[in-house]
Amino acid sequence: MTTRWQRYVDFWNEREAPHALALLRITFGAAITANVAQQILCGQVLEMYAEIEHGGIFSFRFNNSPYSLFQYLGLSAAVCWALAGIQLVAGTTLTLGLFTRFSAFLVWIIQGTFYDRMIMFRYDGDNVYRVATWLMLLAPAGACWSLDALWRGKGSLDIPKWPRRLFMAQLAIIYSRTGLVKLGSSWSFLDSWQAIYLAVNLPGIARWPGDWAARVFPLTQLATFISKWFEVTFFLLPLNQYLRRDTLPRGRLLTLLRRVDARLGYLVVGLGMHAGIFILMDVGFFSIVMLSLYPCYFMPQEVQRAHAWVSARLHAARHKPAVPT
Amino acid sequence: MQETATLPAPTTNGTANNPAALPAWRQKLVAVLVTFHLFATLLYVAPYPPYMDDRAMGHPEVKREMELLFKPMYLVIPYGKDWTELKDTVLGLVRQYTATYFKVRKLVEWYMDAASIQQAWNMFGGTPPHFPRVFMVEIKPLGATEFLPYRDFHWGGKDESEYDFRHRKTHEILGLGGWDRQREDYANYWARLWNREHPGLRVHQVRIYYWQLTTPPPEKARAGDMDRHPQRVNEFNWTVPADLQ
Repeated sequence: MTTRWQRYVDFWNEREAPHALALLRITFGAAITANVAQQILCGQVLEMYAEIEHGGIFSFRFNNSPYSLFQYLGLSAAVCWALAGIQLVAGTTLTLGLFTRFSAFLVWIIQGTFYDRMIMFRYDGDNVYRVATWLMLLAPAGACWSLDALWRGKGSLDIPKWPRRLFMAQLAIIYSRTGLVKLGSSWSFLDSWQAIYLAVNLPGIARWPGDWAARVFPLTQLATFISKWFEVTFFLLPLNQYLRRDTLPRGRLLTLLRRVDARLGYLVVGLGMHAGIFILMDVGFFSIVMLSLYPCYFMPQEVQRAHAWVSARLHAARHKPAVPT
Repeated sequence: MQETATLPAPTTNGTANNPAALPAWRQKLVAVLVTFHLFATLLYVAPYPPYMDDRAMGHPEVKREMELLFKPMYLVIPYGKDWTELKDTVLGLVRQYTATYFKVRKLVEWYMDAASIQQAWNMFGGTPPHFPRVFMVEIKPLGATEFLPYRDFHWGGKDESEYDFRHRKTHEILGLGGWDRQREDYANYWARLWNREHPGLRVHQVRIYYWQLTTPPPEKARAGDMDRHPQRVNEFNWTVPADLQ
């Protein structure tokens, strides 16, 4: 029992190079910066957050969050613009890794504040941002590829693995839960696997009238089947990654289960699914924020290799000798 | 690549680069807290039906789903005198599960609230609607006898492209239920917009409603029958406050 418990403790305290988490910080930071920039550029800040007399639409307040800054600062235009501006700056500094933890804190508390108020406008993408900012706040995400490492001596050659693993688990929870509640008949043979056909026929969500989908109905059926089972079984991916760890004893079954790296299949299908959603449906930044979390499934050494490859190509391009004419 | 070569192999207890490796008690604390976070999140996201009230059960989408699910189920499990009795029994069990679930969930709600990470992922959960709705706004200016069309969120129209997904989320919420107080606020919003765009022609009343469409089955659509049988539903008439008139 003690050994098993100790192994469990050791598992959560394993360490790794910080590059994968740094890439995750950069992609997620860019995604949340883009999210607030979109609200500012489209003139939605006051409509969604301010009191009616300051340009808002809805008068009621939904103060579910104990940390909603609106409870203390009010819902004036100045406060709404200030918070949006601060989140824009904090999202940028999070991406750059400057005062990383403090930036993550600001992004988290403002995202919670906005989410609390925007009940009439919010969609699941907003909640992905909110939940992921909490995990980012817990993570030592500025340990490399950051201005903190470059300027402030905050770099580190290794960091704990558990923050990246929490992101992996969170992504699996989002997908698998979404898949589990797809119980309606259109997600099965009971109604001809027509869920995606129905989805691209939804005015307000589908980008175009869905007449075209009838002509490629078998493809939409296939997409329905794949997306449902991709989501339901996504929890297998972190399980697969756990089994592929070297420290586990090598039994025959485990050897078999960990032979295949399921990341390639799941992440490529996920990329295709989100590209499809982004092209066919207007659901804001949902696909972008989901894809921004995918680096949590990359190993640090893979990220380092990719970085080295890109750096070498860029270096070669910069120092390409001129072709004599 | 050089950077890779200099990296020490990951170890359980830190590296030379990290001389202040966590003491044993902190390592245990990490394991306990991470486990609690995962337990709390998993418990919080356990599936439950979003709506079980009479209004939800009377919705055409829900009624259709119940029939599609329980009719074939009754063939396999012939419990009760017909499929509706089987349905009522199962829904009763679901209601019991839901009540128990929310009691148990209280164990972790304090953490999910404190961390601001309440979550329930439902993207196209249940089923995407067979009967989607299109949001419409009409305005009756002061002194006019008729309502004038103001906003039309049908596909491909100017209004549909001008307003983004967040407004359409509002339409969805108000179309599925929502409160009259919210509808009044939204009607006043359109009234303010109208007044801004039409100086000298102030709003007296706002009417919001939906065209409920029926997505044609693919075989009908392929045969060229794209009739979506629009039905006007959820009409809400609102006389705007005096300060907007």
